[in-house]
Amino acid sequence: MKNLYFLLVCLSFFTIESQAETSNRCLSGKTGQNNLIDQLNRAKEDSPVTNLILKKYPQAIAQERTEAGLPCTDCEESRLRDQTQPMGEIAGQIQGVLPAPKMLFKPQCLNIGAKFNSNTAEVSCPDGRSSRTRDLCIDDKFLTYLNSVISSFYACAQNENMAPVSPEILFQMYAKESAFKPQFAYNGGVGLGQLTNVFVKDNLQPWRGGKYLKRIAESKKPECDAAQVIASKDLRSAPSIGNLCSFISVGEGMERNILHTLVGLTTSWEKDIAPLLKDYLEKHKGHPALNDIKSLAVINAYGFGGRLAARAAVRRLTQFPPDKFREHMQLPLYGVRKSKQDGKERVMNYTEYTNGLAKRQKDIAQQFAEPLRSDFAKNKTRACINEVN
Amino acid sequence: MTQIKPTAFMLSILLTFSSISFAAKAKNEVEIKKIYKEFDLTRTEFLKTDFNKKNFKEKFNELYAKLNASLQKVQSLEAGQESIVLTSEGNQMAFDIEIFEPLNIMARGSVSKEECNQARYEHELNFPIVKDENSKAIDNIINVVCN
Repeated sequence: MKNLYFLLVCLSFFTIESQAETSNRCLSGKTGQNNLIDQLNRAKEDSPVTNLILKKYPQAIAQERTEAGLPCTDCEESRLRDQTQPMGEIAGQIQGVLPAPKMLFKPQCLNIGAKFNSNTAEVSCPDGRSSRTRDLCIDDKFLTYLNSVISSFYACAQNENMAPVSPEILFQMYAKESAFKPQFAYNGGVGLGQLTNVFVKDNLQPWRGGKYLKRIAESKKPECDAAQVIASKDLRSAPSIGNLCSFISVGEGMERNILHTLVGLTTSWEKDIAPLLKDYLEKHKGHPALNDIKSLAVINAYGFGGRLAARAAVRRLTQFPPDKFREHMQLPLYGVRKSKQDGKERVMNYTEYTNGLAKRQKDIAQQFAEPLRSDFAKNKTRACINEVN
Repeated sequence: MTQIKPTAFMLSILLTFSSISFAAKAKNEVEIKKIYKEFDLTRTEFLKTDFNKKNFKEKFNELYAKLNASLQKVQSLEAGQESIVLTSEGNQMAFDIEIFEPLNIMARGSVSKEECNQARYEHELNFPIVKDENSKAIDNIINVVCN
């Protein structure tokens, strides 16, 4: 009898444990290190940005579970309905009358991409405490929310003619910069897109990025409602990258990071790259490789060489027809002189960033299961992008 | 009379052509290296020039045209080969011309306060982290010409 009692106790403990794991299975980090998950739960309660995003992408909350770890199908929806949304609208979404828009990235790709790590410190918010242990848990629910933020802001950017890079390049960039984790920060970069001080300051200059922040703040497009909360706030009071959590914390910081990445890429395109490519684009108008060229040329400025290397690469490659231009953007383009990079003297590669993106994609692809693996081999990163409705 | 076997004859033609093309390629490479050396000398001498508001535009425009003409020459030598080969000399020249772009903003206009600010800002964006000697020299030119 005593033995049977012991067995029952053990069994019930095991069941509770496994339910807890199902409800919070870390794709990266350790079980129980719930700083990011707690931040997301708090944001669902009190962040207007998060609530506007979840209103658009209710599938980001569909996986929520009850305290016992069982799937919860209506608890979050009913809370949102009370907070922000007209009854008819939310009912339509829940019943499938108005289907929610698809998210930009396929979840399988995000889940694999998030398994990679960074060498830098991770920051817990809201206290801003920095640690080198790198064990904050990220689960699939968190990644689904992240996917909905990127999808929402990218849709806004597209509607405001501010999306110079393709979703594929955006996926590649986040995969390389932070492996889709918002908490990494060091002197050279903060958060998801590893934003630097110079980058953020450039976004706030009225004649550079400020112009595009303002466009979002004043947008009338429904796709921009969440992004414009942050854009308006940043135009009123400039955020500082020194306050790490303002670019990391879930509810506004991580979302700000994504918005500023899109604004910065637009600035880079409009002010730095497009003027150099104008004649080339006109000459080869309608060529199918031009969109890839545009994306690769802009994202190349995101790397260590910055706008200087990116513009040099464009200057150099416009002598080629579009197919060759695109091909060479993914091959090394070395100079002659050595310069100091990452503390070492070496010859600069002007396409280092686009070469690095391709390498990370190769590493990710090795971990894909079928049929994604074959799809990726055939279509590269396009295999990770949903056709957005 | 000796008869040349067709296979040996074809082989010798092939060898002749490939050695001609190899020699042309080697000649082009030597020429590209020579152009780059001159380009680099012109560039470094320009950075040491004493400028003022009066002589800047004329001197810069002369240099800028010269540097671009050198790059064009290198690119046509590269294109003259069987398949275009991007030489590291050509890549470096494209990069070095890019470093001068902020000065080009000033030289294209009237060196107004607005143009000076734009040049200064874009130069800072070009060198956000490491300030090498080229960067410092251009900083200096902007300061002298704009003040």
